[in-house]
Amino acid sequence: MDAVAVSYPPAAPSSLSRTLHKWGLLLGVIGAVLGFLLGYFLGGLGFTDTNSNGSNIQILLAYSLSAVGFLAGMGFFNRLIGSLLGRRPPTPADEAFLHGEGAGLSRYFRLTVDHKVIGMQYVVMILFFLFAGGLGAMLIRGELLSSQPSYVTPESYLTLVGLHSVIMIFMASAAIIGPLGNYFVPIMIGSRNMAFPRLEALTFWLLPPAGLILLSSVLLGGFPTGWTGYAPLADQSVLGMDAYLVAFGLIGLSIMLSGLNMITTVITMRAPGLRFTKLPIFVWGVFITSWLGLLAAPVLASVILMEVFDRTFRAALFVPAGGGTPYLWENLFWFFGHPEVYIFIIPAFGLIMEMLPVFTRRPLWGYRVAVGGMLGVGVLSFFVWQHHLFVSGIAPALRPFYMFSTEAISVPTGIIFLVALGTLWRARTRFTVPMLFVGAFLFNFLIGGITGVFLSDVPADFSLHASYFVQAHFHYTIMGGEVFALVGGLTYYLPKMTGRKLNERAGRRQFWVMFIAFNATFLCLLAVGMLGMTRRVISYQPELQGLNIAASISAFVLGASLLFWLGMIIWSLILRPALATQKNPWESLGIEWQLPTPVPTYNFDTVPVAWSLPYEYDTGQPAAVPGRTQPALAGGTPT
Amino acid sequence: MTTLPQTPAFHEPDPVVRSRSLILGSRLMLGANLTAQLSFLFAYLYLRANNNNGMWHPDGVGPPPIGLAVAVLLLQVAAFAAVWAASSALTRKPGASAFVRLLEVGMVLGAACLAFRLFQITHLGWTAAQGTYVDVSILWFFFLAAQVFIGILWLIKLLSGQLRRTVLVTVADLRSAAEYWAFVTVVSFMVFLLVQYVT
Repeated sequence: MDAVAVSYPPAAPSSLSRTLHKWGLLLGVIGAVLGFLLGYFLGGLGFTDTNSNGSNIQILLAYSLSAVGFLAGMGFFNRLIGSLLGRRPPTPADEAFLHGEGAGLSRYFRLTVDHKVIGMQYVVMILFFLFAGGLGAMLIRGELLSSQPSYVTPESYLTLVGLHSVIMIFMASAAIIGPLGNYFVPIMIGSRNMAFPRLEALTFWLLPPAGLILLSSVLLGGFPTGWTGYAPLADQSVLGMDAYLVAFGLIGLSIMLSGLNMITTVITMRAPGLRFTKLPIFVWGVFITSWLGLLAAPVLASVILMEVFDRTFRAALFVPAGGGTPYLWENLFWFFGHPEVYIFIIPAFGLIMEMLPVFTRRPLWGYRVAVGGMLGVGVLSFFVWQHHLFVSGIAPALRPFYMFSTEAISVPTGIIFLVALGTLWRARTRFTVPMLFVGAFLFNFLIGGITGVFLSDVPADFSLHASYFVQAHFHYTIMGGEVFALVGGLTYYLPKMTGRKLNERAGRRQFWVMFIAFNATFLCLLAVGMLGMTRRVISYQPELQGLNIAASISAFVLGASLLFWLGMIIWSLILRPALATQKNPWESLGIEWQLPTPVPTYNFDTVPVAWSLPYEYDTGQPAAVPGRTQPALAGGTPT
Repeated sequence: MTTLPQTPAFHEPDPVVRSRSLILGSRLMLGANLTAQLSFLFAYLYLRANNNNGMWHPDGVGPPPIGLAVAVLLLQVAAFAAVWAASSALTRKPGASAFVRLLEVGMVLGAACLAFRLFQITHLGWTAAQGTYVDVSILWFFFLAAQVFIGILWLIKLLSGQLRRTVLVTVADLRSAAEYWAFVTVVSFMVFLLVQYVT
């Protein structure tokens, strides 16, 4: 792909673009309100009383149309409607405007197609939901200071646990791909943008309504199922369950479309000379994850559709008395749900392997092996889902296969660890803050992985299923793995994204507090799980109170450390904006660090053509040097 | 090697890359669509095998009337054939406009298929409480109807741009649309066989 020799005449953006520019988000909110009212009205016209829990068709339609109204207000349907009516496509001026050139901060509050703006939008949203979900965790741990219910009722506790889990799952599914994948993948492959920029914007803007709909479930009685939405409990639940279904459906749609866009971008938009064998390892992580999202998320969408059908029309797909079976939900949900776990973690693998060579000043040891490891994890992740059903009563003959397939997934995971260790071996490592998080990732994920191997074993799973051991295992992989990688990755990439570097000394202190508090929390929970404490239950045996108090206090410290990290970001970006950093503070050879900061709107004036792996620290040769010999553009893109 | 664009500094993607992206993107979407269809297939066969309480297929519930089902399927095949022929015509003679008529025919047949499908759904006399064969079949029919509707919108988009000469249809555009219709037609045929004969 090369720059196209096109020169466009000056043209002002259309009035539609101007309107969007000024009122994009506000119109979206108005559209959401109107959509909600319309849906509520239509739902009340003649579809009521089909469900014993109330007229959930009204809620479903209201939520669905509010999401549609929001997107319409944001301007997502303008082009679709225009093309259906045969109108002219947007002019280059409109397109340039949509990229947000010269729009300043306002471009972050409207529909834009610049992948870097969308990446920053993701950063804010991910942090918001990380802290919203974290608040739920604090409330849960506060409640569990006592072995008997204190300030939360058992019913509200279930909703609290469910909200915490779904918000965190929602956050985690986009935590790395959203901010860092969208921002850096096009740059790392030498492209000016994603293959489908509007689709990329859509994948982001589907998520704020999803999050708000999910949070609103509290107003409708919540949902008692946790993040897994198990039937037939879901069939019997109050209207808050509908909020779960619509929100999760929107999240699934976003994951699927994001996967489609990323795959197409990596395959078709790579710069000349950038073969797959030269792709940065982070791009590989995103690429493999995208396949998982593309193929697994539609299954989630289908099973949600079935649940909606059950709840709304009194169908019985998951109700045994009517001919259905809850195992149908369990199978389909986990066919999505287990690859979903790897949707969280494979980008984190890619991210830490991207950072390792920078701080060890060595080439990534076993690059191809690492790619193979991630591919192996990705493929195997589709063949393990029934280990979630070991205790539910699946055919005993199936258990050995799923036990071995689950254990087998530790092999490619172990390969990735070997690559990391090989890169670290005898390296003169620079223990900067991002590198500390890389180390913490390896430590935490090792514990998460090993406890996972225990759980894959059928007899062990029988005794530990639904206990805090499972919960702690899961948190070791997702929080200890992905969230640590996210914090480290954002610390690493913020200087490129914003031109500001977080304070190194404060960062080190924050890291150690976070690392120790995290392990103190979840080691205690591993212990209470082994002692038989069941998750999702508000009361527990009094003799476990000591460990629970220790876990809760550690969790509060962990929460405080993350708040401190957020404060560091705000301090660096907003309160002390004069603290600009140098262009490449980590001395990385990656192409993204060879570009100016902030990165120009279209990334490259001329597309780079000479590529090597970006890890040649023994020679100091960058992957590619973007051609920046052309004069600055008259339009004022920074160079 | 390049002339930098002047104001505004918009770098239009290479048309060849854009075509490749379109074709690949639409095939990936078909892949995603396939996994959704497989979910329905799994549900159908799983519920049939379980037959809890004998409620898969209670007495008195039969497959849809064969005449209407065949009509829906034939219209679907005819719509696909027209779109495919349009795609072939444009590939053979890129500058000619003979494909437009075929595309119009495809759109009309697709709309007829959708109408017949909706008529079928609303006149089956099925209710959701009549067992899981009915539940999963009717949901699948709705899903297929939505797919046909999307296919029709796609054709309208292509035709509108072409007829108003605002966005001319490219080979890649039509090939993607034709592949989509081929996919939906094959799925419709499989669903027809399943719902009619694997009860």
